[in-house]
Amino acid sequence: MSAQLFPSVESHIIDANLFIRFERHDTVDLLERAVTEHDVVLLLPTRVYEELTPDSYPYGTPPVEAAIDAGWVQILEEVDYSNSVVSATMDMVRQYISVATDRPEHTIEQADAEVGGAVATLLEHGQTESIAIYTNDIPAFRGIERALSQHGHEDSVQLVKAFDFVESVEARYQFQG
Amino acid sequence: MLAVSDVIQNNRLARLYARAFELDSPTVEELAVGLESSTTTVYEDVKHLVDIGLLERVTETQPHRYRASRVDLTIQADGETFRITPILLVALAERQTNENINLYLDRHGVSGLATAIEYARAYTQSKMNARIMAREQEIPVLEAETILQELQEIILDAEPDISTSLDIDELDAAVDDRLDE
Repeated sequence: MSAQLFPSVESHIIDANLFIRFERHDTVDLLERAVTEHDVVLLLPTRVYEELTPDSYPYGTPPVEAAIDAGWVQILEEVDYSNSVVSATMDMVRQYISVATDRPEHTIEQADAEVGGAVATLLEHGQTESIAIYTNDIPAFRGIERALSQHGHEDSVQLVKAFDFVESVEARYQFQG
Repeated sequence: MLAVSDVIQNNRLARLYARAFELDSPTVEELAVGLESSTTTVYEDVKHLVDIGLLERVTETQPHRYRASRVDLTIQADGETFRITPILLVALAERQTNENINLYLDRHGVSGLATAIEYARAYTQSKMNARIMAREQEIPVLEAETILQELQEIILDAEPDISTSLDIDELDAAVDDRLDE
């Protein structure tokens, strides 16, 4: 019996670093297999989608569009900035990023906290009760976790360390032909 | 006479340095294995790298062994100032086989790559993310994340002792201090 690849939660949300890691390793097809075999859909915040598909980019871009067409990646609706829990979560994330990166808080933009905003929006709108966040941005995750637990969403998020997850997927599917 | 700054323009020398770095203290023969150059060329290149301080001879008797110097120099070349470190030389040596590093060099030059290494070191320690680097360096987030990940792998390989675990309690306390202000 092998360890569980995906945590048992209702929703799975991914940060840019996860998709870029698979793309760099040329193993997006393995991610697709893992995701579809487990009946999982990876949720992508709008802003992260834009980051992964920049205009006039000189390199190749990750095959996000194909993943969306195939149905295993889904773009989320816009973050609900007017919701106070959403904005409190994003403010907290900005604090964490500011402290961790040793940058003044005013230089950390709202957009930097978009994953947190998207998670808070899903919870606040009652679209899900538990979410796994796939990222290697540990300070941002900690900010999300803390803000949400202060606003009635205790134990509703869990971290999946992006690069460990990539390793697990590759180890499991790489040699299955 | 060769200077340290020439090594960043000469991929053969960068690859020789990177191989010495990887092998710890190889002999010239050991260095030559896997390199395209003839042993004679490798001998000459080793002598050059010793002359400019990038390799150190660590033996008194034949066959001599050479160690890659843990260089940390700030130099000026082509009107730009940047820091030469082992990571930079190893990254330059990977240019031929690593498409992302090669493209980054084409777009941002050696000094751009040297800057990216500073970001990548912080990123490896969970003290940086691609969005901030992208904004400060005026590049797309995708490009920043890609080069950070490439360089992170080199850094983890070359500096296995680098601290990668963030102290969450310390971070919480620092944020609390900030919020109390």
